[in-house]
Amino acid sequence: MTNKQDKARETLQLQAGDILPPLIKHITQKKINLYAEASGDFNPLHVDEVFARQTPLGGTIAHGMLVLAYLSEMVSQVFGTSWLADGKLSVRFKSPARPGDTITVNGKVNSLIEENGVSYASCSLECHNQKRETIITGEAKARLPQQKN
Amino acid sequence: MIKYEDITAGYEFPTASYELNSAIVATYLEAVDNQDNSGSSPEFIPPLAIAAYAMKASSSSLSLPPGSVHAAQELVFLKPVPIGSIITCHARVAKKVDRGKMHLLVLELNVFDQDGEKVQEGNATVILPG
Repeated sequence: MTNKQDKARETLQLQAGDILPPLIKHITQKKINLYAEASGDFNPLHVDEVFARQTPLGGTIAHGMLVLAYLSEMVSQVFGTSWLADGKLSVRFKSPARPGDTITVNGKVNSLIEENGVSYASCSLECHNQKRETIITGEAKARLPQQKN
Repeated sequence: MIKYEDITAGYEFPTASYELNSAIVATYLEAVDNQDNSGSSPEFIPPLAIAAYAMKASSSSLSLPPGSVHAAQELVFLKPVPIGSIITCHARVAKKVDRGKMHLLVLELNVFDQDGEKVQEGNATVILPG
């Protein structure tokens, strides 16, 4: 189960206040359409530009779960397989992400906690678009990769 | 296909199983712009791909009015799931709120692997147009 990246993470020394490496992604209608195919979610708000233009949103928006995948990718890059085995994510979708948006995902370690002998990092997460509008806010709790003694 | 008006709290959607093979995972990774499965061991399915299929278990049999939006999501990842696994998704309505113009659904999601082990749980909050 352990790969080279996970071995590197075994030496990871996180502290409260640490900033997670940010992630930048670009939203396009093509990616939204592809996500609809991959997920089976063809809500016209995502894929029907004519319909979406007539709604208060004024145009198509990305699936919330598509943008949420970016947050998970960022956390995964830091915590590796530990995130897949023992991770918790809690978010609110604040504003829609739209085709043409550049999304920046940020994260910060708020605290390190111990539960039943297992160490976790509690992190705050947020992502925003190029206008600094918040798209998602939330928290992640991830088990720290096993430390070498 | 069941309509929003016809469901009540406690309603359980038909269980759905999916084989998440390498082609399906590759399509998902292309959609989320992460072709090299960055950060995750390449042999494992990204947890948000599993979550997307858990959501599909309810959305494929529930007719929501156009304009419904996803407002919040909680997920707990319990076990890495290798590519090629068959996952079984259970979804039920944990809460339904109709108050004036506010219509809200909370869906509870549970996902199991082919050995019957739970690999993921969570809930999704969906707001419907008034």
